[in-house]
Amino acid sequence: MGNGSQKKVLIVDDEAYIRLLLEQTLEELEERGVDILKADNGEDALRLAREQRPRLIFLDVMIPKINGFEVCRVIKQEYQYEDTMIVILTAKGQEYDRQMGQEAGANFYMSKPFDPDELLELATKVLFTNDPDYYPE
Amino acid sequence: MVFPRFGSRLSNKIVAWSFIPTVIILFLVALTVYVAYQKVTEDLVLKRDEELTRLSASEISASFEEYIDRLTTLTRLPDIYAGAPRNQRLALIGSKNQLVFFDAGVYLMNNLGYVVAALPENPRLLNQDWSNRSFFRTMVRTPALYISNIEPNGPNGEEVIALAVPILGDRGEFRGVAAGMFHLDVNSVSPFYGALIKLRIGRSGNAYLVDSNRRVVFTNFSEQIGEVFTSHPVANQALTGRVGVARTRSLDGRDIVAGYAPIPRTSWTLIVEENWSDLALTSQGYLRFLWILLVLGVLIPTLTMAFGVRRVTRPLMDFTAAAQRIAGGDFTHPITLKTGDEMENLANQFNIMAGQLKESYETLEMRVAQRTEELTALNSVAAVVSRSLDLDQILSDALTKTIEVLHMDAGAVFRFDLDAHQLILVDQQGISPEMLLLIQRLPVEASIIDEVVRTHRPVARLVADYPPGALREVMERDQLKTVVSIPLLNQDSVLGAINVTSRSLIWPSPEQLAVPASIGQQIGVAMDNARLYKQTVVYAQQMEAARQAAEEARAIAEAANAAKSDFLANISHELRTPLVSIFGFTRIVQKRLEERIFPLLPDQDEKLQRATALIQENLQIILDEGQRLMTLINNLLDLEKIEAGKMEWQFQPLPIGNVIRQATTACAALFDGKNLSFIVDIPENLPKVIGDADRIVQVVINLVSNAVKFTPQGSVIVRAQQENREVIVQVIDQGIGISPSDQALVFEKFRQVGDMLTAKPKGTGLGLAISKEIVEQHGGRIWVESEVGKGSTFSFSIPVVDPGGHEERPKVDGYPEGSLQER
Repeated sequence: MGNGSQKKVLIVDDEAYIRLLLEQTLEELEERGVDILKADNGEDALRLAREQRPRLIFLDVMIPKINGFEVCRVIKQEYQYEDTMIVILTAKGQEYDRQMGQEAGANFYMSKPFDPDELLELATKVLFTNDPDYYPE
Repeated sequence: MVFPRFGSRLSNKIVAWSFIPTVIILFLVALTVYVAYQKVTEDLVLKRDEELTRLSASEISASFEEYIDRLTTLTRLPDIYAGAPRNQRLALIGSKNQLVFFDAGVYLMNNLGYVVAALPENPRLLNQDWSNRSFFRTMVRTPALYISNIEPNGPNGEEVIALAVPILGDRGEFRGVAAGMFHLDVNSVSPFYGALIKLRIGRSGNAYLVDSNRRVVFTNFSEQIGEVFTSHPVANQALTGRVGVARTRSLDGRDIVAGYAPIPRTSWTLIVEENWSDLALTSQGYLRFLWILLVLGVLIPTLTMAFGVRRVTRPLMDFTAAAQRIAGGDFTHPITLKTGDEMENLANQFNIMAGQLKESYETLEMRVAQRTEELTALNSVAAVVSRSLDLDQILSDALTKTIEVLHMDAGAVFRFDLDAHQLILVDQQGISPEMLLLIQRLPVEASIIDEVVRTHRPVARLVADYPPGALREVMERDQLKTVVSIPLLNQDSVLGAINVTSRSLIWPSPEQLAVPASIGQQIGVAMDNARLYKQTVVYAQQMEAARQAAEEARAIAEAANAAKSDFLANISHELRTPLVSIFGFTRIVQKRLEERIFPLLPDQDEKLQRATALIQENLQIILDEGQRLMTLINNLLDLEKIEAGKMEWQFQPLPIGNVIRQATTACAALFDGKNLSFIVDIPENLPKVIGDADRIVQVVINLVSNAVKFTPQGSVIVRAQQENREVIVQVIDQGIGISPSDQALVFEKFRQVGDMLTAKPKGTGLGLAISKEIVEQHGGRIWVESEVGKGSTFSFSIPVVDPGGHEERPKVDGYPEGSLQER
């Protein structure tokens, strides 16, 4: 539980509009002092994750350079005992992807198009619950 | 060696079959003769014995005659029959010399029974009363000769035999009795017994003279005289006074013949017993003769037969031995028989046969050797020609081999050009250059091959028989004498010919030409094989080309298919990404308008109110249409995955009732704002099925949303029930219905029913196609029943799980186990 890390959310998607959509969806959190970090490829995502230690990462799968599952796996290995929560976010709604995400260590899985209310609720709960190991249903 | 045993066995059989009956018959004849003879002999012997006995009895009686005469003479003396007692005594003494026979004395009695005189004189006896004596009492009743039994009639009462005659007066009146007496003493010089012994009655056996009191008067065994004769086997029948004979057993067990006869003028009986063996002594000799005959009758045929059989079977043994020698391949020993009968004929025939056999055997061996040689030649040619599939190579090899196996000096092989009717030289061996020039291309008519082509058979020809011409000249110069031409045949068509030639003058027989004929056929077949091979190679090349083309086409098609799949996957991803933005931002716009903008607007402004309502409606339309587009894309992707076999199925045992209830719950929202009632009729006790719950839910939602889409008002019913081994799920609507011609099409991709212009359908047209794929993946069926204007019923079935196991789990084998476990 690093310095201010619980107030950081990392958004990883190669689509600018999707990043924007996620950012605006999480606008409320910014108002509550949460830092929203963004990356459009796997490398940047890993770098930001290492530097900023975000509490929550929304991670697209099909991203340039390093794919989302790989990013997820690396982060989960490096922060094995940390409480970074990774939400895999992909257009693919198939069980195979879900299973790959689980194997990579993802905590949650949301398919696009997502419900903004649902996504905001999840993020709010993760960031503002007293229980550091909160795991969404 | 085997045959002597065979011979002896045969002779044994012959002897047995002829000898044994002979012996039996002989024996029976001998036995019959013997028995008959015994019978006749016995009769004769008995008769003779009876007669002898009777004669003996007469003789005995006759022997008494002298005594009776003397006594009778005595009684005729006047002093005796008429004198005073004193005179009688004197007369008796005077006759003393004539009466010496009577060893027990002679006595005279008067008519009262008193003794009046006795000889030898005995005064004590005079006047004794003898009237009680048997002879006197008998005499008183019947004055005639009387010979007494053994009785105590002696002067002193001793037992004697009395011979009494009456003394008769002039007028025949009874005046007394004169009785002469004999002692029972055979040892004395009794003239009585002396006379009996002289008769020699019973020469070989015993004779008994028995009185009527059964006292033995006389027998050979003197000690028995006077004894009572009772125990003899024939005693009873003998004493009946009849003449007779009997064969019987004596007391001491001897086989005897006993004859008996009464002694005339007495009450006595003579019994003569003799041993049977003595009587049958003469027949014994005859019997012995019979036995000798029998033995000879057995021996002579036996020996004759044994000898004869030996004579007959010896040639048979010789035959056997000869046959064995022939069987062993030895034809050099003929059978020599000089019996002069059928045997000799047979032996001669046999020798002729053996000779013929030897001849044909040798011929056969020769043929086998010849045939072996032929086959070897054929084999070597076949081996050579089958070594290659190249036609020219085959012909060259065949030529070389043919020259070799036929022992020729040179040769050439030709191919037959059917069109040009020419022979084209393929190869040659040992042909001179001059000749080579002549035979490069040979018109068929110019060659010996002409005949070969016509007859399809090898032909041999002497060079000397060739028609005059260049060819003959060249051949003669090359010192070739004989040419053999062999057709190369395949199924009656001449493919070519091999001509071989020799510097020797040979004229092969038809048999010798058979080998070249076979060689020609072998080569013909090899040529055909080569042709077929060539053809096959061409075919194979064509096939390979076709296969490669097909392979390429398939690869292209597969690539195209894969490209299509990739394209679909990519395009749907690409299509979805902007939709995510459209959805997301529309929702954010909606939210912000509702939360931040609309509250700021003045409530009174109706125009503004209408505008905000319109904005809200428009935003909702964007969301709805976005949803429609999303559904379309998702369906497209699903269908593609199912068809490409890439769908990941999550098959597991499911409580189908719960799954369908869950689907109807998800459908409830579809009825919002519709004038439709939604009826769910699912029993509690539905069995489990194997299935993918999400997909079954998808099917139900598809069907229900279709029903909602095409039903303006009324009700939509979802019903499920078990029928046999299936669960049938029905979605029943009261909508516009489907015409029968369209019912078959509704499950096809991008089909929608009805007039596209007048009744614009909603939906993608993929829902039913996907549903069909899903149901069929579960091993079930999907179908529709409908009537236009009344409504439709869409039904699908899912097989029930066999309670015994999960074998019915459909089409899950291709998926890794792990993918099934997480849920």
